[in-house]
Amino acid sequence: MSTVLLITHGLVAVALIGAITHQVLALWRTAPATPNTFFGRLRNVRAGSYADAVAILYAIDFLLGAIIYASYRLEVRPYLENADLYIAAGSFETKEHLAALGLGLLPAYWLFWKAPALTNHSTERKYVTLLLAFYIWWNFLVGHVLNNIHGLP
Amino acid sequence: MADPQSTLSRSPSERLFSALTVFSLVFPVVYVVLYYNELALFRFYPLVGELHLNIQPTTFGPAMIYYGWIIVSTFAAAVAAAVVPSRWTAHLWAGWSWLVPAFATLFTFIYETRWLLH
Repeated sequence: MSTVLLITHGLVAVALIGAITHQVLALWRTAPATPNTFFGRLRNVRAGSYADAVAILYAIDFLLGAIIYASYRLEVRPYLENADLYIAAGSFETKEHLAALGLGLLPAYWLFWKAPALTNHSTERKYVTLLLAFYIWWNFLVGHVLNNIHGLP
Repeated sequence: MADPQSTLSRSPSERLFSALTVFSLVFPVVYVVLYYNELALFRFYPLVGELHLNIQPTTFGPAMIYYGWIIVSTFAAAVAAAVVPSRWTAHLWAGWSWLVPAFATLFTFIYETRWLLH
């Protein structure tokens, strides 16, 4: 069961990372997107159309992560500590905290993208989105490396 | 004459702005205070699958307090979002909504360097 949840957690994270990366690249571009190039197409999206998907995917992925966290605590963390892999264990602690901080950031993220009266808050929108993207990328990479070190049984 | 700054005179979008901004400001502060001080509303023992308010013997396995931090932070932020009048937040700089979580993130990275000391 843990394996199914972990794979689902990872697949949702892939969708999430795709959506938020499109959004950040579109939002932070300083020059018009060059058509017919890979990065041009990557950046040339309607960034606002990803906001609902990002919020929903983040909430789902957080919930999945919280469920399998108990298995990590029982099976993986003792292994990391016994193997003196403290940087890996500490990275996962940071992942858990950033996941929580991202959950708290979601209302502001959604607000700056979706509230129609607040379209003048473009600076806040850029920084909130960048911060959320940092959380998502960090958590994805740490989770991936940790799973390579010792996966869930 | 009605106070034009009263909560009732504010539009739904202004009240929504106030509530969601307050939530995203309060959540990281409460969360950081909780984990820094290891304050636990309850402990979950995954080995036996039980919740307890108090510390249990080692036979129960490792305790998890993360779920309590999430619940308390969410509840505190939701209460603050509901009770803080929007007139108080009318002149709040919107940038705090990302700057406070950014500071909480920086603090988290500094705090977790303790793992390097093993």
